[in-house]
Amino acid sequence: MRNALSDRRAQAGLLIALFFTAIAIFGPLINEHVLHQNPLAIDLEAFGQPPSSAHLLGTTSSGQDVLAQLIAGASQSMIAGLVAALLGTAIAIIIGVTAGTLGGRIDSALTAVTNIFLTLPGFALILIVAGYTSNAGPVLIGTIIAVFGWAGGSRALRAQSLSLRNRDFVQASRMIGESRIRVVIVEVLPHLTGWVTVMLLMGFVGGILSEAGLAFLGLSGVDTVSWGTMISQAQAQNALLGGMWWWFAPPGLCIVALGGSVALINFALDQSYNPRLSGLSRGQLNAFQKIKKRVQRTPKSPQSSENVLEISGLTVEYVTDRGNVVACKQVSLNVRRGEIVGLAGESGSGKSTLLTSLVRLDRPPAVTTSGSVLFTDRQGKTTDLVSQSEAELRPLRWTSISLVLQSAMTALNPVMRLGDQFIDVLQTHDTTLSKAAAQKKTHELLKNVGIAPNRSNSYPHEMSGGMRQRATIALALACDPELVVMDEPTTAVDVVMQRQILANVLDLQRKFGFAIVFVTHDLSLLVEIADRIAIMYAGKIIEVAAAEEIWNAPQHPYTVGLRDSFPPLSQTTVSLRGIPGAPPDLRNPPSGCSFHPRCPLKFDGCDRDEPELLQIGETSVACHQYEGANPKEMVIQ
Amino acid sequence: MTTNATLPPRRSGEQPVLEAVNLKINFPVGGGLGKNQVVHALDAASVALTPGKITAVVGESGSGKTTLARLFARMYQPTSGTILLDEVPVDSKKLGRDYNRAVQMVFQDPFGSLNSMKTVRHHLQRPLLIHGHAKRGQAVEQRIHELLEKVKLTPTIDFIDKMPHQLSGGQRQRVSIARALAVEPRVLLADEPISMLDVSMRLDILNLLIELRDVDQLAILYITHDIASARYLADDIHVMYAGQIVESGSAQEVINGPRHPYTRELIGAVPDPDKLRENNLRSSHAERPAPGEPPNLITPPSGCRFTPRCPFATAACSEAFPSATEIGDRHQVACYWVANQKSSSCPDPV
Repeated sequence: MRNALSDRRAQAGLLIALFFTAIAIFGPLINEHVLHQNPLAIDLEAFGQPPSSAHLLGTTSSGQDVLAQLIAGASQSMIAGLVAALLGTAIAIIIGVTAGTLGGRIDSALTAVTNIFLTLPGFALILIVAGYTSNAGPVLIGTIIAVFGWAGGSRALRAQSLSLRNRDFVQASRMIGESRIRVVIVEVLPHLTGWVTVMLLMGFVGGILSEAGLAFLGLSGVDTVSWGTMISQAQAQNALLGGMWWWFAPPGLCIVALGGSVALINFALDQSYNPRLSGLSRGQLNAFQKIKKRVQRTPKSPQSSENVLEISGLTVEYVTDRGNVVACKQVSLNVRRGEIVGLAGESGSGKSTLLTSLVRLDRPPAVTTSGSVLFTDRQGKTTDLVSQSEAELRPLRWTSISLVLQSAMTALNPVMRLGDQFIDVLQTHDTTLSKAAAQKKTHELLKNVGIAPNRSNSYPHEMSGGMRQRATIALALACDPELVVMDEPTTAVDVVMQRQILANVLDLQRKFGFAIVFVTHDLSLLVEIADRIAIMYAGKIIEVAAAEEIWNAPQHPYTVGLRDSFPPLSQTTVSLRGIPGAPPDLRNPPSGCSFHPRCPLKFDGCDRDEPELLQIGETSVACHQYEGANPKEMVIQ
Repeated sequence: MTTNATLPPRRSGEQPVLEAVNLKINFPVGGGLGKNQVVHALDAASVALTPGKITAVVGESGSGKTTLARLFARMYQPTSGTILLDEVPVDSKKLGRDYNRAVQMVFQDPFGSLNSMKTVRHHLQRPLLIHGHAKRGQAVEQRIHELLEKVKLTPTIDFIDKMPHQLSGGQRQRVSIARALAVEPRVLLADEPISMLDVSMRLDILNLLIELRDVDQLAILYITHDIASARYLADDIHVMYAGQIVESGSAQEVINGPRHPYTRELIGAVPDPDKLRENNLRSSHAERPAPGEPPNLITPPSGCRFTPRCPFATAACSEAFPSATEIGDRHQVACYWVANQKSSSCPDPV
């Protein structure tokens, strides 16, 4: 809500709305004491006059002052709008929230009533009812509009409360013995504020427009002045043909301005409730463009052709309105041909950012601000992936580097048969491939992961989670890649299936020789499948070592703590302590070594200097306690 | 409650505070076109919770373990079977605060289980006021500080006015535990309380549960798919597969000496870096059988639901779910193969 109020559109909208509110409240006083005009007084001396100093907005064909009518009419329109909004929203809340929270038969009955009201031709009924009640004032008109207009909002609120009802926090407050009515009012209703505000605003606009419409049709009292009756009388007296624009244009413009002001407020509210709608702010975009221009690429050559991937000095930042957040800081890591490199870290460690950056799938507001990712293919040709355009990357994707994601359901197209998705991929990357050949290859690929060829006619939803994940892995191997990047590929499947899938992946890896970068938070799993493991913390790689070393002889205090956070399965159970504190907030990272606030071994200086990655034997570790141990061997990998 | 087999394994001389006997639940699913299909989510589950003990229920997704916790929380009505509180059947009609006063729950998702628009104070003062453990004013405030102290959110003054989004996942889960403790329950149902937390913060929550068991003598139900954590934490363990409890016993005995074919497969699949040399995915080249998966619970296999995947299955397995065989102190296995081995007293072939 506060965000919305700082939005310029909302401020403009509020200003206009407040202006009209003031006019509606003080209108009679202004007319009497400032303009000295009676909006209904007929002055036959001055009929149909254009604007002049005596009549600022001219007069009607009966000589009534248009400005005085406009001011008097504001209150009529606003009252109709307010009554429609308040009453309509109140009915919608009572019916919708009751149906959504109570459920069962009450829900069925209320929903039926709502649906009936939704199908009623609202405006036609309003016409009939208004026609029978001659001299309908704004309150009655607002009421009629509310009674026929609440159903849409009620349905939205029912759907919302239905989903809130099953949320854990609602269940939890039931569990502690909270009464039903309090659960609804104290726990559920505040979450509907956004919806209710939007409904109020829409109801308000609807009320004003419907009042104008009814008045225009002559269905409001003859002795009341509203913007609608003004337009109605102007129409009846042929003001348009007579060129008397000052009569009908001002009330029309007022209706547009008031409606527009509400729409402006609504836009701003919508954006503050659904921030994802807004995309990047202008400030973010500018900063983003500036960084893009600043980043310079110097061509590099790889240290060794044995490395399929050489990441060096890779820094990725997220551009925000409150400055940049460094999610990945000076990351360097090599992947040898056919090697399995594990990447482990907790949330906010930067492992996912690193992964999306190295496959060049990072999108604004993420931007790679420095560093290179050198990919060397079997023929020895080296490409810096960071400097490539999307078009240049396309031929490399899938044939050189492919990707397996956590959720197979999102990686597979839900409306395409499995086999067709394989054929699609195969033919995209090899345009000469015939359909029959592609089909044969598909069956082979599926067989590799233990899926029977006849399943290629299935849709993804017809397969189990484990089978879908195996299919995604087969798809990633379709174009014989040299590097497969796997992001938590087995987190969504059960442990028995996980072992089967990984055994399968390792078999295929031995057979085809591709390298794997495997990202997960499960260190105990990585130890079993990876050759080497890199540990990430707060955007940096803090330790790299052979998998067994990471488990049996971790060097960095964080790695030690992470390992000891996994209770043993077969060793004697001892009391374990996790790591105190929580991973740092990258928007406000600690000074010096980012682990120092949680580190049991910290000493003077840890909070001041950032440790470099040092080579200690076969292990690389970024920790001050190893500095000076063997300074000659300090090599930044 | 006719035969011994239907009763959950008990510790001798200890009175369970909360007990499920032959609990079964079917969920109707929208079959459409007049078809009334049901999901056979839980089948004849018997579990007893004892003061000062942590009882773990382990299984994979869809095994019915969360359903069991929610039945204990009385979020669902069982299709058949009974829940006993202090050995008295809980009346399905008479719900309410008396039951909640004894039984509280900690949810899996620390982000979803707190109201994002309310402060820590709100979350903790409501249960205190509802159950009359503190009257308004200073007493409530003091009790809230004590609760925060208990779950180690200290200094408490820094946390009491925080909104959930200002806390880390681990801290939120502590608030969630404190809210349950505010009711002063005798039973705590913990449904996967650590699965959504960062690895480095999980142990603290587990250690807190251990403290609640040892110091406060709570009876704790620990639902998890993380077998190593169950071993770390639990006194007793029940292994579930497709809605059936297949093996029960002391945590150490079940995890270090699993007997049911499914438990063996499950525990064999857990990565164990300490046994890297004996049991390594990377060094094994053996032909692997086609991977099996849990059955569809709308049309589950008859009898033992593990039958289609079981290497030792016989015709009898499909006829009826085997009654539990006692193979050690409170160690029970529901398996014909294990029962036959025991009766012929063959040495374990595996």
